[in-house]
Amino acid sequence: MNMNTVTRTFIRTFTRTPLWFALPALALLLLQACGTTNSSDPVSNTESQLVEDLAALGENGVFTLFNLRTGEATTDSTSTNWDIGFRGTTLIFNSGSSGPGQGGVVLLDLPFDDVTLAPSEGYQADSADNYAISTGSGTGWYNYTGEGFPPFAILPRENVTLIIKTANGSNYAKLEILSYYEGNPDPTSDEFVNIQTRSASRYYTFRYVVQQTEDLREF
Amino acid sequence: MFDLQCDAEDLFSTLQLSQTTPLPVTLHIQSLGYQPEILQGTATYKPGIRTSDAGTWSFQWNASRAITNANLLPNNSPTRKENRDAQPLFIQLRATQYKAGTVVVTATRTQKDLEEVTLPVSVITEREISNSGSTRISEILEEQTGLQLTSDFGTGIQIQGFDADYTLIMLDGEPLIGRIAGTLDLNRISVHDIRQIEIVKGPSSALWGSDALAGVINIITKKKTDPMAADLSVRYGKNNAADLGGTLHINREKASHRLFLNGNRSDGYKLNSTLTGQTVPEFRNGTASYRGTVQISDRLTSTTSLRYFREKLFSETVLQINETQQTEVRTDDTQDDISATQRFLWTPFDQVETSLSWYYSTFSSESILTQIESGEFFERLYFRQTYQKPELQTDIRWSSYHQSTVGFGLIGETLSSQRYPSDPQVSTRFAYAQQSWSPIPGILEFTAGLRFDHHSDYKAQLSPKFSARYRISDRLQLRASAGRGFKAPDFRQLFLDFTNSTAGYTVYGSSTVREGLQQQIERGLIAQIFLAPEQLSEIRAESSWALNSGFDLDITPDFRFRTNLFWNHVTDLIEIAPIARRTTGQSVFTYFNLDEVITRGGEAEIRVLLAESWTVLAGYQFLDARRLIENTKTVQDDEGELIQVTEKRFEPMFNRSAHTGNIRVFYQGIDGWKGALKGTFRGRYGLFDRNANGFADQDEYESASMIWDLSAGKTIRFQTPQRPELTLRTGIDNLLDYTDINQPFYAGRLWYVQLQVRL
Repeated sequence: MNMNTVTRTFIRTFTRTPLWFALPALALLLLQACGTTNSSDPVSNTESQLVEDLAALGENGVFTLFNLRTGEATTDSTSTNWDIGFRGTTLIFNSGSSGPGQGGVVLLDLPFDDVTLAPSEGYQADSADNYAISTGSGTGWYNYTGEGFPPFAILPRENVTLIIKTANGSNYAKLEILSYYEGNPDPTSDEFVNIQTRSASRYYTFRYVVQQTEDLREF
Repeated sequence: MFDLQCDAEDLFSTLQLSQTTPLPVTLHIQSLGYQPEILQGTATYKPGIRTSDAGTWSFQWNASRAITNANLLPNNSPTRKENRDAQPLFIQLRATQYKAGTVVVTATRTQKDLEEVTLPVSVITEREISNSGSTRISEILEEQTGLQLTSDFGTGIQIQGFDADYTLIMLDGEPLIGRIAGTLDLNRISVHDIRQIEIVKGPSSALWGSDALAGVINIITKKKTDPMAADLSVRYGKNNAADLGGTLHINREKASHRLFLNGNRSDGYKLNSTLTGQTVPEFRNGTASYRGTVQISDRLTSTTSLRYFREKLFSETVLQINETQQTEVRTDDTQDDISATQRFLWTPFDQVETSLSWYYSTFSSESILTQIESGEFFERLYFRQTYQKPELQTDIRWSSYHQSTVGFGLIGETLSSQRYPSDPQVSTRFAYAQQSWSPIPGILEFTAGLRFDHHSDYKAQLSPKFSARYRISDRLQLRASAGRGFKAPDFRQLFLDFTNSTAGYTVYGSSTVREGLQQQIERGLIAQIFLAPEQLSEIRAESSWALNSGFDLDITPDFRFRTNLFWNHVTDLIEIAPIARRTTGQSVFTYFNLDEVITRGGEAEIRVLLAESWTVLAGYQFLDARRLIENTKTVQDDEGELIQVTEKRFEPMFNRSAHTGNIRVFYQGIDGWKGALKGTFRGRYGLFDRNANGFADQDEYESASMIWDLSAGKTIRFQTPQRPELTLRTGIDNLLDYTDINQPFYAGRLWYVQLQVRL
């Protein structure tokens, strides 16, 4: 027999046998092994937001509450409808003594864009003695410049990212505070340096990425 | 009568003199700024201490003019070879940069020739000071290579990268006190009464004790040997700045007196016209000082010195209390400095000299703040410090190969200030010893020293030092030194007990923290303790180990090149850290030995004499000053879990320029005309820690600057018997009008006119 005959016979035999049916299934199996999504793997659904000028004036000692999952501010501190609260320079999280939720926070000394995975444990809850994020200068989320430059300013610490577990205890978000002043001004500008012309404080500008898929720690 | 001494050994060897009886002398004097002169005089011989030691020849002649910076060059004498006994001697004096026989005391606590010290010593002469047109010490020091002015509760001096707190500043060998927050304000000292300023770089605690970590600056006051000498100086310039000063010297056979008076005032200035308050406030100050020396007997001398300084400052500022509150206040500051020294100098034998001294000094500062709008009293701040030091020092010159120094004493200090409610008192007992050994006198010398300081409130300190010099040839000399320096914890770090009622934090010194914290706990003010008081260890002094080495090279007799390399490793630097949290949410702080710093670099300097009238000086320093930054960070591992990482790095410090330099050109003509051009360069430096990471990032640097000063003047000499001199000078400081709000000691372009009379 010549080559052509052999080939023709091979193909005819192959396409006739039930083995032929196995081929697509085999192909699927092989492709799956290369890592394409399996319908049972969770799908990442991240949402990036920038919140500007969220007022945290703290009138009557009230915290401004914010829900990272919905992107809205609320007022009811007894619900699980909020994740993070702001009052002056104090931050609270829906956890422990601050609220009924299962939330928590961990402070990472890493740049916001470098964080791609939330840790599985180590989240701090607020307690009666201690806020999870310290309220002091240099130990929490900000530095107070005092008589430095620019003078008497609250500036967010560089390369600090907050990893937040939301009130339901199942979603994760990473958050970076950009400014404590209305309009997110440039702290080196003349307008900001001069206390007389500086914009009002207690207005938070921050950005965050929330993973809407529950129990998935990726960003 | 003017007295010139020279080493008999030089004279014997070059002139082949064998006689010891008085000798008539013809002096040919050629010094800077004067016509060559020929004078007649007599040389007398005084034998040495032992028969094996060379004696000294002393030349006296009838000229009442003081000659500075003149060198004896007997080897140029044309009559050298033919000289026979009883023949007149022809000696030539020629001007050089440093007067041979410039004696310094700071390097070894004994009188030593500048060329023979084993440490890097710089001397600023009287002539340099009067040529520079400065009125305060800070101005003249700033022109020196390796010295940088800093502004921090006063104008201080930075040496080898160390802050102003780390340099001991003395007046005639006694320490100046009154550092409210570490810096000794150099504007307190007038320049008129100064004979020379000796600057020793490198730790010198082996001789001088605390604060001599970066170095020592010793200001030596004028001393004249003429029967009567007087000088008067008047200066007026921009900002209504006026200075009037005068000195009177009277020398009799058994007693001599010196009186100095000075008044200085200025309107101050504003660097930024939009500011409400002035950058440098209006001030007036006055200095009065007296020194009397009595020769009680051939071997016993008594010296009494008294000094009084008073300064008043007035300023109007906007006081920023916190973020939102501010108020306009008027501040009236009064500062009083009093010091007295009594010294007995006893020479029981020719080789032994003993000095018994008692030094007493007080410094008091009071600030009264009044609100401008309401006229209401706002605040009174006061600070009063006293310092007493009895001391006994003995120098023994065993031979020209060995010399020893031994000393001991006591220091008692008190402090009274509203931030120190306990009115603390401290005392120190100290003892020191130093040995110099010259295996080859004049060529090779080793010096070793050790000092022990025992203090009532911090751990005792032992400071050793070792230095050597080697004169390889006539033109080249090497120097090297290694030693330890320390800086005692200051009153703040020991005794502070201060709570900021607005901000809510408390700071304690190391001696008040245990009791203070206990009291707060009992009053229920403490929410959490990070570090239990029982765990706090006794505070230690900040200390350093340092190496300095360099050489002096005379490329030609008129061209000297000098260099010094340094390396300092400082540990136990005292920093503030929290130990507890108050119920207000703010912390309780105290002082710890936490920090570590390394500074290293090198400096080079040239001094050139040109054409008998021009002097050119240029200097450069390279500095690398780094601080240990230790950070614990919370980061993630590969699986995203939390891990703590501790980083330790040495990072650049703030307010230190890597490159600094200066150039100075002086002209002194024979006809009396003089001029000076000076340029000081300061390289870029980090200033504000914007991201609060503790070190200077690249974007936190301020730019470099170059400041130029120019002056010109003429000296007129009258031919009357007293030979008085009148000098008129005018100048412009900061020619290019450089200002920087962060360097308030640069006042912008300043003009001045100065008149000096010397009798």
